[in-house]
Amino acid sequence: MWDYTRLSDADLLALVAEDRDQVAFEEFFSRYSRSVYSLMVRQLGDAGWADDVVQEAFISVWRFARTYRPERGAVVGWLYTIARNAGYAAARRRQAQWLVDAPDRADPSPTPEDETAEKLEAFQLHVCIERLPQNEREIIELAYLNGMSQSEIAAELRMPLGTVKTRNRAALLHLAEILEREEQS
Amino acid sequence: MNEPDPQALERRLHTLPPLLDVPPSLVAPSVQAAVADPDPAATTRPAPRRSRRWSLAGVVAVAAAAAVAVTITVTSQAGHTGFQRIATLTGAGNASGSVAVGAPDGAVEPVVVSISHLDPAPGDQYYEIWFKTGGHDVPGVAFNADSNGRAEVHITAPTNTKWVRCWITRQSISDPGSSTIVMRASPTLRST
Repeated sequence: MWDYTRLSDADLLALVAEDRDQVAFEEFFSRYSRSVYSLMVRQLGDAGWADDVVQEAFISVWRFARTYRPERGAVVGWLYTIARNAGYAAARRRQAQWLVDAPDRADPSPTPEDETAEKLEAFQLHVCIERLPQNEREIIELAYLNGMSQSEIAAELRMPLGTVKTRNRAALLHLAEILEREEQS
Repeated sequence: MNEPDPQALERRLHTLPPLLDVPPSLVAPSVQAAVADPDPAATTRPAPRRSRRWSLAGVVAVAAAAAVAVTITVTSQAGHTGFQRIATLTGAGNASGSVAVGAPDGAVEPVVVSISHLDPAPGDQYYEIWFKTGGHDVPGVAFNADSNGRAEVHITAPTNTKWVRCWITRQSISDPGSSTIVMRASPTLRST
């Protein structure tokens, strides 16, 4: 029996592609669903709508797992492309929402490349945060993504301020290491 | 991704949007919907929906391809009566088609792309239609031709979009860097 939690993303996709392994897919889903869901909510601006598109994105993962080629880059970039395109397709289906909902934009064109790169970076960073142990991830999310002060975090988590500071520092270093590894992959 | 030092990382984190929790009600249906999807190797795979900019290599490839122009008018285009603007699509071999832009309906206007004699995209490939509007390449929709080489794509565009150009690419989901233009509109689409 595989310990799926220890398998790499590429291994999980290989199991999905070759064996149609549902457990491997569930593990992959659990690793990436928050990042994909967050991306979809930002891209579409509608949590309810994002629900459907997240489903579509992961159906594409299941369907096209065999197209992933490790030598061409990390899983994160491959998944980001699938998720983003699921979002674009959904936006197109909603009758030109991409223009109608943004009347202040002079240009109805799709996301400029630099903005896309920024979104990809945000997606990668989200993915890396998800790879932190729960106690470190919690600190990072509260401190930076939710904008809480360290005193507020200490109160929220019922731990000494010094512990919050120490854990925050350790989490940052760990996250930096994960980011570096992700970049090298 | 280039600066692993904590201070640079902190600055990036401060601009990062929150990670949102997936609604619990979404988890099981998502997994079930995916695994219930037919094996693409065993069935006719619908075209994936993707969008991406085309490459210069694709332009070169299409320039080398023999183009066969087919003139299609509004009145002769079955089912497209009432469309205000129409352009022909030409491509390699016998591939041909039309792009018809219909009368506005409020904030949107219909666009129908009809294609014939286009080989179904093989393997993990698919077709995607693109428009150039206001200096930007806008992806339309991904599609595939049926076994008879036909496809009809319906798109809804913002009213009075300034269409400048239209083309169709063949792309591979496993190789996002590659893209080949297989058809393009002739003459140029332009808003009246």
